[in-house]
Amino acid sequence: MKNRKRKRFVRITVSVVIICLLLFFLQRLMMPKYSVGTQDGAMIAEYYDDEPKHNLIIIGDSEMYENISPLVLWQNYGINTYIRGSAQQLIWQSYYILEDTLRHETPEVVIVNISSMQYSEPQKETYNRMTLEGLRWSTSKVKAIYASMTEEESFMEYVFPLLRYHSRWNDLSADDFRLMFHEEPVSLNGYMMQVGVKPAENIPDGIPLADYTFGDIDYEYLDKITALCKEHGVELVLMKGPSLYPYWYEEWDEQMKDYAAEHNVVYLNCVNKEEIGLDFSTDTFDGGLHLNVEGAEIYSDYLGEWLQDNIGISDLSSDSALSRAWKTKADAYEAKKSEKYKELSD
Amino acid sequence: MQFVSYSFFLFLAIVFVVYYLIPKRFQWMVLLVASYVFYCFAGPKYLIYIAATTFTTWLTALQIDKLKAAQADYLQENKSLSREEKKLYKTATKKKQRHLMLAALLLNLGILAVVKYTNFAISNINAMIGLAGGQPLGYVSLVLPLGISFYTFRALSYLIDVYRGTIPAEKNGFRFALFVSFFPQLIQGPISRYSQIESGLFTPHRLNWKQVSFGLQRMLWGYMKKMVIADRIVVGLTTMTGDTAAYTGAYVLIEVFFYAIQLYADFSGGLDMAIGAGQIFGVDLPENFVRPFFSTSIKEYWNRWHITMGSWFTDYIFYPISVCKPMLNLSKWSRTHLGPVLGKRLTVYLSSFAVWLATGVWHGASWNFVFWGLSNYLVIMISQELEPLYRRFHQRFDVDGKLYFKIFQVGRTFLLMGFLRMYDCFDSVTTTWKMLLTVFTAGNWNILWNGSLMQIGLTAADYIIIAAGILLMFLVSMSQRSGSVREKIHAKPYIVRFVLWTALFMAVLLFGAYGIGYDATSFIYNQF
Amino acid sequence: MKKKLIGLLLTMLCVVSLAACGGGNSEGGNDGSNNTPTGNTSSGYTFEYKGVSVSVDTDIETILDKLGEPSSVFEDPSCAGQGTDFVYRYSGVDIYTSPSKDCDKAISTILIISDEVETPEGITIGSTQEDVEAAYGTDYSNNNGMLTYEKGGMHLGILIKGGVVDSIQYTSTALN
Repeated sequence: MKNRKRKRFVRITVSVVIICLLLFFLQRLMMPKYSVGTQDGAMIAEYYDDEPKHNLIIIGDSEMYENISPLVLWQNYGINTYIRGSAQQLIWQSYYILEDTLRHETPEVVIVNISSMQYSEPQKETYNRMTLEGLRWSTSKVKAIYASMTEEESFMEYVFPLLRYHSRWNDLSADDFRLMFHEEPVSLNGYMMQVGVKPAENIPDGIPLADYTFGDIDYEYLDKITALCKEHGVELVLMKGPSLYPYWYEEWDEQMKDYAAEHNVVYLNCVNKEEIGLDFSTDTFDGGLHLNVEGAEIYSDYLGEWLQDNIGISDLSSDSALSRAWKTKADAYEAKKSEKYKELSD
Repeated sequence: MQFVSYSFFLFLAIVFVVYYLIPKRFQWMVLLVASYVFYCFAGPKYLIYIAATTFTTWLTALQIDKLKAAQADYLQENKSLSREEKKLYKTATKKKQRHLMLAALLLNLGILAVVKYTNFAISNINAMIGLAGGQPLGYVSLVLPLGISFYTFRALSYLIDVYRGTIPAEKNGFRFALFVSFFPQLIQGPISRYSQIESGLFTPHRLNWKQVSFGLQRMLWGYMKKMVIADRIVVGLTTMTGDTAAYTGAYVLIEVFFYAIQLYADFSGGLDMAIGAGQIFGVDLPENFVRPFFSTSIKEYWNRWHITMGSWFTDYIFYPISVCKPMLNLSKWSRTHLGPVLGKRLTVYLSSFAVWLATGVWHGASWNFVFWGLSNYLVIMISQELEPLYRRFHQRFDVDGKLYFKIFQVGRTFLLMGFLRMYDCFDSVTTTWKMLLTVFTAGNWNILWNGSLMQIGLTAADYIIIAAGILLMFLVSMSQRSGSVREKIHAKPYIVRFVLWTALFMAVLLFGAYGIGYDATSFIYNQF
Repeated sequence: MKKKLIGLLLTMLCVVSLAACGGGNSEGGNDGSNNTPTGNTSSGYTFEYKGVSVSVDTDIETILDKLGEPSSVFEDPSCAGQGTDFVYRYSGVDIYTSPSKDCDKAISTILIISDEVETPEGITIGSTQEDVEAAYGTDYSNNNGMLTYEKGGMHLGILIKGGVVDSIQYTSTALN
């Protein structure tokens, strides 16, 4: 009797373990491999691989992660930067990413991209996925998911992504098997390098709007960002990247200026700022939306100087461990650059 | 809450745990609370409908039962009464019971009619007004309370059974409320009778793993039918039926086939989930489908498809009409005036007509369903009339019992029912007729092999999955003829069982048409 | 014995609900497999450019030939390869497109930016608010000078600055 019971117990345990393993492998297999696909979805997760000793954290969308080169910030100013960027990152997602980051480290300065203030609703499931999947599980992630889900999404599908990607069996490639458990990083401290030139031409003016006021929800999360930085003693910089399009209305600029003054934070608008020294006939790869690597290096140089002069951010170049790490990164950066140029010329 | 939803799994798990942990005498109360919680998910305001139906039928049945008891007591005490007096007394009390019963019946059917048929009535009134050139009436926005047709019919069967004296009235209103609202059968049936599930609902149940796993297996099979087959094939079906100008002729034939598969997989899959969920709690719900596509005639088909609805109409419409006084008089009259053959049939024809009209109307508030019901009626009556002819044919050519002939009959029934079912798919009766006619006139048979079927929203992979799913359904049905498939699997070694059920689970998980990218399709029978 | 009346009543009631039935039209089944309207029939305001009618939510590819060569085309690829928006710039008019369910270049906005062009109802940059009201009526919502007319699933927005029309836009509501 006892023996039979034990046998039964073992049988059930083994069965459950096998099913769980099977599900786990299937899930790893079915999940999209961002590093060989849409790379914009890979960076949020890559942050956790870098040592949390950054004195500058930048949070935002492609206006950050395609426009700023952390290597220049390190080499020229000794600023150890990480960009926590993701495609179409919404302001409440920026907030929860900030929460997540502050759980790992407390940087001197946080730059938050405020161009997302124009969106009061989640834009697309795909963007949600790219921003949220890479976050490690925490209350911040749970809250971020609930704040971001479109009507068609469900929380369960974030907990068990297999439920979301179950039908990918039809598109599986060799990469899906190869990269099941490990993917190579695609970014350099969160920077996604772009090469090539497409001059900015014929950029349309903004379509006149009936109402320029940012949404309540945007302000609500901006307040939360401000408060969280104050609480942690972090200097907050609200920044609009140098991208020329989508159009940044003067009315929006005014609102941000007012907000910054009222809350005693810094607001830096980099659109059409001459001192940066950008030339949009050569420094952009997509007609003014984002910068190419040359543009990003120019902009980063400006940003580093600005941070030193206006915020007084520290120079960490004397830290030998960091120096060593950045030396390796610099090699990878150069290698990537030449690889990208080679791809471009092919 | 849909059966195909994450919240339903969570809900089921919670109810399961509480059900088997709580002292057994409270088990049915757990189910009652769970059922009302389940109903709440559809919108708390609809609770009033189901509560009203429950309360009125329960109270009325109780009153009828009291009258019956009082009558028995009275007759017991007054044994000295003459036969005449007794009869007079019985008639008087019976009349009272009947009035009570009718009042409750009309009230509940009235509610059903108002929420379900108001807009249909308005559209018809508008059509007449339109002919007369007047101002059309506005439509009302009434949302159907979840499963109203199903629970109303369940409650009414109970009421009529009590009135007929076949079952005693339930004294405890909460127990009765559970019968009406039991959540597995709330959305789409089966339309069980009180006598069928009473013991299942109220007998204390010990946790029986075999029963629970059988229940889960039955549910899994239902999910496979619904999610892998029905929800996948429906994409192609809606593409075709959505554009009546482009998809004619051979496409309509494909639609006939697709819709047959989709409706069966969707509806019977839903019932598998319902019956499986019931089984988890030790409640055996009546079967609603017995391999309907294996039927050799339409009459047989209707004994195997949506069985609980068919038997409801037989018991509560066909039978009472056939034996009511005017009908008996008519029968007597026709037998003397029209001869014994026709005379005998006239009443059957009339009663059947009523049944099929009601069946059509029950299925939906539109003329399509009325015509659909009556077309079924027509086909059944004609084949009944031709019965002697068939028999002679069968004898002459010696086809009875031959496999090929049976296959022919099954195919014929499948096609005939398939064509009739197309009333569901088009927006009007005339469109349906026109579309069916194009099968014979369009002559576009080349679409069957020239790749056109890859343009209706289904890929080659979809077709493979659908075909494999249909094959699996077929094999399971074949095996079912000689007994429960789950019992057969249960008799196999553990490793075989484990592999089989895990494979089915993984198949549903991977090949189910659910989640983003697939429109969440609700069960076809939800709104009935 | 008379209990059999029940059945009769049941059917009667079913029939009664049909009693008022007249013509042969029907509402269609309710099984979800019925026609869903495809495409957007432009019952809203339509703009006309060089005799070509341009309406929001339609595919610009179908009229590109007729519109002639645009003075420039601006590309706005969205982040992470999620489709590209375009701005077709003609003299006096910008036409914005976005990917939609049905096509890659569904017109999302038509923006009139100079007085060279006028709407089919005769309004142009520089028209007065009275002109606008005479052409389109007064059934608009006014938000900081932006008069918005809603019609057939689209918006016609006319911005008034200093008493005269400053810009005119036709927008799809599918975007909002």
